Amino acid sequence: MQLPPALAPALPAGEAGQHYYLPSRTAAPAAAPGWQRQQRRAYGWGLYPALIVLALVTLAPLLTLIVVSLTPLSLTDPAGTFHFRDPLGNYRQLLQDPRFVHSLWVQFQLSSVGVTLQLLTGLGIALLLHGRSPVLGAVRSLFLIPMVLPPIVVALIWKILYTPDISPLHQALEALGWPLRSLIANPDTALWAVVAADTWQWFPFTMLMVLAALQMIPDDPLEAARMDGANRWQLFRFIVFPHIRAVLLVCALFRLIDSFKAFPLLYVLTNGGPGTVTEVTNFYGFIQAFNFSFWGYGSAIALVMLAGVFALSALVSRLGRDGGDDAR
Amino acid sequence: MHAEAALYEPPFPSDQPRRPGWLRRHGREAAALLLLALLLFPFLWMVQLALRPAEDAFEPGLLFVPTLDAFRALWQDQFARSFGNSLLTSTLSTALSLLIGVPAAYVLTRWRFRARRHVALWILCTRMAPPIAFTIPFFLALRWSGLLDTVWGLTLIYLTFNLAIVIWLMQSFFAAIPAALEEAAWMDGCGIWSAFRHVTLPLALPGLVSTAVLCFIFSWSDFFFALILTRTQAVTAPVAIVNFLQYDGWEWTKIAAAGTLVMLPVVAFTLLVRKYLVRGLTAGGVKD
Amino acid sequence: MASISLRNLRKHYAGQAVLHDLSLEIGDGEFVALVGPSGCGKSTLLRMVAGLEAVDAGEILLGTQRLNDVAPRERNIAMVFQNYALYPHMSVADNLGFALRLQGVRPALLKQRVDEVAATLDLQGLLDRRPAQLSGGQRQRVAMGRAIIREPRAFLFDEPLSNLDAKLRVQMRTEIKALHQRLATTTLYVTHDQIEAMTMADRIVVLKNGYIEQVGTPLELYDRPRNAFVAGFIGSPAMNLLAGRAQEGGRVLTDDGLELPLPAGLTLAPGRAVWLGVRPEHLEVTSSDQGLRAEVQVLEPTGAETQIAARLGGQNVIAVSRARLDLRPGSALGLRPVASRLHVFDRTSGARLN
Repeated sequence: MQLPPALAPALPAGEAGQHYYLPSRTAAPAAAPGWQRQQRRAYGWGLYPALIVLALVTLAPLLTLIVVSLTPLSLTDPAGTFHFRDPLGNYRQLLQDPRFVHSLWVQFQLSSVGVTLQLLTGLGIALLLHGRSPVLGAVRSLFLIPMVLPPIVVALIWKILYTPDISPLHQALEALGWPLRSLIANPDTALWAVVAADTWQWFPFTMLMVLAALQMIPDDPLEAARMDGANRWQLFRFIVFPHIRAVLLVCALFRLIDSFKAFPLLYVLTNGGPGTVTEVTNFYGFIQAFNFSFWGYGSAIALVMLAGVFALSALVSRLGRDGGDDAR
Repeated sequence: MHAEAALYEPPFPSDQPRRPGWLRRHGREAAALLLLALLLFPFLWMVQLALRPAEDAFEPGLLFVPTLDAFRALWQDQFARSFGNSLLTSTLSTALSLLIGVPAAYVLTRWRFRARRHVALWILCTRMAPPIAFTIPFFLALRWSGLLDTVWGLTLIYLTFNLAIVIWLMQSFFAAIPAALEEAAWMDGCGIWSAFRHVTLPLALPGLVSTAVLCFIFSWSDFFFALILTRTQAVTAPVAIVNFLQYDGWEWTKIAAAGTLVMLPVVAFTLLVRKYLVRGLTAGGVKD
Repeated sequence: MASISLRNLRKHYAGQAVLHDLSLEIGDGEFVALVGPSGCGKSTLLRMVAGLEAVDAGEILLGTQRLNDVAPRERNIAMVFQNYALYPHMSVADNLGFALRLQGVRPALLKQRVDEVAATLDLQGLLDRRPAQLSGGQRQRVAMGRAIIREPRAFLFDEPLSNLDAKLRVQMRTEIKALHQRLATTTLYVTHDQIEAMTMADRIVVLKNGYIEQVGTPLELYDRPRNAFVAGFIGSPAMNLLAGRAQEGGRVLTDDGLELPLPAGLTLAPGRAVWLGVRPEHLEVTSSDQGLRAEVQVLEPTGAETQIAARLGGQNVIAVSRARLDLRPGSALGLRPVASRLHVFDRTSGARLN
C-alpha cells in the first residue's frame, strides 16, 4: 500500500546524491549466491550423501535380489546359470515345493503362538510390576535382560537348558523320578521348545511398552470406578484395557514382523530339525541360498518374505500415525 | 491418588478393619521377586556354568569353587581375536553410521521438502526387512569384489540397520531443540552447519550418545550377517561361539564363558540407555 | 547510513497471502513500532528484515544495500527474540561474546567488550551463570546485550516484553527506550501491545491482515486515526464508536435515536452510514440535563481517574473523568462529547471522513 506523500516522512538526502527510490545492488561480489540457495545447498550436503549411501545399501541390494530371483543362479556354474530364459521359474517351483509350503506352516505356528504368548506374558508381568516401590522399579529393569541379551547368547542359554547332560531341568526331573528325553531332538516337542525360548526372550518388549502405557492412564476414571464399587477385574476390563489396547496392537505387529527373522535360536537349538519340523521360511531360504548355494531360488524365497513384511509394515506405519488417538 | 494404588487396593478402606497383613502389603513385591528369580534362572545358570571348573560341568551339585579357568582357556583359544573383531566392527559401524546419518537427520528435521514422508517410509521398510533379503545380494557383491570375510564388508552391511536407526532417533532429538536457537546463531554470525556445530549438537549430545550406544549394541549382537559374510578372518564373537558348539561341543564351561563375555558389554550399555530403549526398538514404526 | 526501506513486499504461506505489497521507509536512528492484532503479519515482516524468511516479491534495503539475498549473518542486524533464544549450554558471558568469538576477536578484547556490555545492562554478577539460572528480566537483558555487543546497524525486537509480568514490563520499556536514546540505532519493534508502541516509538505502523492501516507518530495516530480500525486499536480504553446516519443540516442520528452534531466543516449526504467516534476522555461528564442522557453501569476508579461504563441510548460507552464524582451504578448522568474531538468514519469502508 503506497503511502500518500503527505504521510511519508521527510527523507534525509542519500549519500553521494543517491536517489532513494531506485533499487541498488549490494556491494558484495556479483557472483555470491543468494541466502536461500546457500541454505538449500548446505542442507543438500548434509542429506544427499546419506540418501546415496542408503540407496546403495538398500535399493541396490533389492534390485539385485529381484534380478537374481529371476535366474537359476547357483554356485556350481555361476556364469552359466545367470540367464533370464525362464524368469518366473523359481516362483513356479516355489508354489510346487512342498518343503516351502511346509515352512510357511511352521512359520505360522511359530509366529502366532509365540507372539500370543509374548503378549500375554508381557501384559501379565507389566500389570504385576506397575507400581511405585523401589523394589518393583529395580525388578522392572532386571526383567529387561532377556530382551537385551545378544540373540546368540539367548540361544546358548537355552541350548544348555535343553541338553540333558548339563541341563538343571533334566537333572532335576531325573532326580524326581521323571526322566525326560531331549525336547529339541523330539519332533513333537521341538517347535514348542523353541517357542518357549522365544517367549522368554521377547516378553520384555511387550512388558516395557505396556508399562509405559499404564503410566499414562489418568487417575480420575480409576478413582471414579473405584468409588462406584468396581472390582479389580472390572477395573482392568473397562478402564485399563481400552487404554492399552492400541499399544498391544502395535506390540503384536512389531513382534509379528520380527518373528519372521527368527534365526539364532533355530540355528543353535535345532538347526531346522529334527527333519524339517522347525524349519521356518527364513531358515529354508537360508538353507537354499547358503547350504545348497541356489542363490536364485533363495532370492525368490527372500522376495516372497519381503512382500509379506512390507504389507505388515504399511499397517504398522498407518497405526503408528493415528493409533495414539485410539485409547481415550 | 496414584493409579496403581487405585487398581490394587480394596474398594472401600472401611472394609478392612485392621491394617492389612504383610502379605497384602508386600505380596506384589514378593511375587515379583519370585518371578524374577524364576525367569532369570536360565541366564544365571549360564553365568555360573562359566565359573565352574571344567570337570564340574556335568556335576549336578550347586556347590563349586568358582574359577576363571574357562575364561582363560577361552582367551588363549583364538576367542580374543573374534572378540576384537566384534569390537572393531561395532565401533566402525557406529562411527560410520553417525557420520553419515546425523547430518541427514538434522536436515530432515529442519528442511521442509516434499519427499520427507517417503524417506520416513523408506527407513521403516529398511528396519522391517528380513536380513536374508540383504544377505544374498551382499554376499554376491562382496564375493565378487573380494570383500568377503573382511571387517569392512561387515561394516558395510551393518549400515543397513544402523543408518536407519541413527536417522530415525536423531530426528526426534533434533526436533526437541527449538529452531529459534539456531536462528539466533544465524544472526550472530553462523552459517547452517556452523550453527549446528555450536548450538544444536551440544544440546543433542545426550541423544547422540544414546543413539551411538544403541548402534553399538545392535552391531555387536548381530549373528546372521556375520555368520554368512565371514569365514575365518573377520569372524565376530557370536559366530565364534557357534564354532565352539560345533567343534568343542563338550567344553561347556568354555562355551558358557564365551556367552558371558559376549553379553557383558551389551547388558552394561543397556542399563545406560534404558530410557531410550523403546524408541530404539520401535524405530520407524511408532511416532514419538 | 542505517535507514531501512521496505518496497512492495509480498509474502505468502501455502497459497495464502500474508503481506500485500507493503512499503515503508524507516529513517536512520528511528524507533519504529509495528503493531497489530495477531496474524497481521508484523512478525513475518520483522523476520524478513532479519533474513529468517524469504522475500517472495519486493525489496528490503538497509541504507543503500539490497538485503534480499544476503545471509542473516551478513546483514549486520541484531534481533531480540520473543523467547530470548539464549544458548542454554553457554554461560551468560559466552552468550554475550558468541558473535564476537565467531568473528575471531582476540580473547582479551572480547572479554573487555563483554564486560562493557554487562556493565551497561547491570549483568556483571551474572556472567558465569547459565540462562536457566536467571530470572525473566535478567534473560531479557542478556538477550539485549547479545544484540548490543555486535554494534549492528539496526535492532529488531520481536515482542520482547510479552513474557514478563506487568511491573517488569514497565521497567524494561523505560530501559529499552533509554538504550535507544543512548545508542541512536535504527530500531524496528514488533508488539501487540499498543501502549508499548505509544510510549516507546518515534513512529508507529499499524498493520492488519498484511496491510498497513496507518503510519505516523503516536500522537498523530491518536488524534487523527485514518480509519475506524486504527481508531479502535490505539488508545486505552478504546475509542467509543457510535453507529449512526447522517441527517440534513449537519447532524447525525444514531441508530438508537440520539442526535449529535457533526464536526464543523463536514458535509455529508443524508442517509450515509457512519461511525461517530469519541474518546473516553473527550466525553465530558455533566448532569443529566446538560448532555446526552446516560445511565451508569460500572464504575472503575483507578485513583488518578475514574472510568465510567455507561449505557447511552442502546449502546455501551466508556467515559473517563479526572474529577472525583458522586455516582453509583444506576445513577443518571449527562455525557457531552467535545465537539472538536469528534471523529467521523464511513461505516462501509471505515475510512476517516473529517
